[in-house]
Amino acid sequence: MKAPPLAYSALVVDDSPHSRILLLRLLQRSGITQVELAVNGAEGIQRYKASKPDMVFLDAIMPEMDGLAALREIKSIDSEALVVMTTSLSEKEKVLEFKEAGANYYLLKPFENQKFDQTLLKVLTLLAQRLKKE
Amino acid sequence: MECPNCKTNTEGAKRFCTACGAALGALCKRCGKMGKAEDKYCGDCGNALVASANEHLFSHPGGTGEVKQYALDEIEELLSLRKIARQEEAASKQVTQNDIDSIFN
Repeated sequence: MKAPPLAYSALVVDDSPHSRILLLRLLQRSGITQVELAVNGAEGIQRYKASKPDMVFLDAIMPEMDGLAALREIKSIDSEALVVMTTSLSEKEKVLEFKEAGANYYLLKPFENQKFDQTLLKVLTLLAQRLKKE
Repeated sequence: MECPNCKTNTEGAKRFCTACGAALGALCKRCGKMGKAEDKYCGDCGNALVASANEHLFSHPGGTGEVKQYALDEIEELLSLRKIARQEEAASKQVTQNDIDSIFN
């Protein structure tokens, strides 16, 4: 069932067309219709600077600029940026590296739709809490 | 001491032949005493010497130790085993989504 539109925007940064489309559809299904897509970290940074989306779904292994570099860049632009890593990297060392760099959540690919929904709910809860504080 | 390899006489209690580098005796890894090349056990502490002597043959840069030659299929098998070992090592360091959730919560 399609959720009613939410006033949140998202940026999906992933070099895989399949992953981009999947995330786009999952977000749209959850009511987030303002979704921008980028194919690598460098384009992701450009789009982030231009539109300051509420949340970023960021792949780790990408050409030109990888996810870790992009994450650090996004966090240097806005330390409050809400970033969900979406990657197949499952080495603990790497996971901790992303955590230290400021990733808010980490979704291991391939993920089930239910897991995506749970993570998105955490993101939306965090955004709502921030709005309340303001 | 006469070298078992080139028959040169090396003076004094040397571990290796000064002419060809072959091991002249078996060094006891336990007590550090030098035995004869043919000794199987250390005369001072009773430790087995065969392994020590072989190690010297293979590890001394100037020694006469054989260098093992591998066939192509053996090399491929060894590389394959190494690859499996690395994959297993990497797999042991991997975490599940549940582990990740506990890291991020």
